[in-house]
Amino acid sequence: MEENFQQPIDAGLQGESAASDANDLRFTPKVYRHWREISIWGIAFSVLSFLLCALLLLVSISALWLEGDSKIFLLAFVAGLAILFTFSWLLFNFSRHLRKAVLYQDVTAAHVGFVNLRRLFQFSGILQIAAIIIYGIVLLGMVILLDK
Amino acid sequence: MEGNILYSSEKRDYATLSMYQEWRTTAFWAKMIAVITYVFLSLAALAYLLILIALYFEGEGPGSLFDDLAVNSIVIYVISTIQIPLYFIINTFLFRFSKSLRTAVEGKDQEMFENAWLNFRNYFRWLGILAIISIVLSAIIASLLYYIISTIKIDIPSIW
Repeated sequence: MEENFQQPIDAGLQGESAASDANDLRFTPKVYRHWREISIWGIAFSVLSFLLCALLLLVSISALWLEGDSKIFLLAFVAGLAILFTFSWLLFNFSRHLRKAVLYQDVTAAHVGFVNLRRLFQFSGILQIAAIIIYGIVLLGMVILLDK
Repeated sequence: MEGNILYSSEKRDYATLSMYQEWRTTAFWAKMIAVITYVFLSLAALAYLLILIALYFEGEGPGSLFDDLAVNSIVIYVISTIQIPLYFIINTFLFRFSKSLRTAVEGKDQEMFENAWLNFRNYFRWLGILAIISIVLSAIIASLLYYIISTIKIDIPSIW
């Protein structure tokens, strides 16, 4: 049997809920209006974040010419840059796909957008937890140092 | 069509099963972020209040805490007075979004679903307005500083 390579990549996924349940959550004009504004703000934030990334990159490059403790700063800048870029990229993808979903009423695009939103929140949450752990370690270290 | 990956663009006005799963996870993480932010904001507010109380009991005069504080520190405290409640309000939108989305997904509640996106829109809107204000203020301060520096003539003695 000849395989059909022209079918969509998510063709198999469509059947999971092809039939609408009367209780299913609906994408009403009100929801689309909210999504439209969210996508506009999201794109604006991500563009701003990308600009900030470019600025950080410039600072990182200029730190290469500095002497002394610049390597530690460089490492911190690169880590900050990587975090900010990932954050901006996820936000941009979410907003872009949500905008597409609003413009063409495309459920697949909406789904891709929500996957990116979930990743964005997961990423931010993990970062926050990591920050708390680091703060805790630093505080503990300070208490131990003050005791000595 | 998305790049060279073929997607089927489907026009449908109801949520799919995979969307419910994504929203459930999103609501969980959004709630966690909102709660952690509340804790940090409360700690910041507490620290701010403690400093204010210390300033009040120390009084003014030479050698007092108030006297030792630099002018820029006072500016930071004034900004904090506005910032902490503002971030508290903004964070409330995120918390409401997570709560409403969770309720909407669990009970397939259309009203809560719309309410969730309304709160998320408000969250983005407030953050956006705050970002615009920050950018405008930064630009004004930068141009003022540039103006002050360019108008002040400093006589630099020549060493040769």
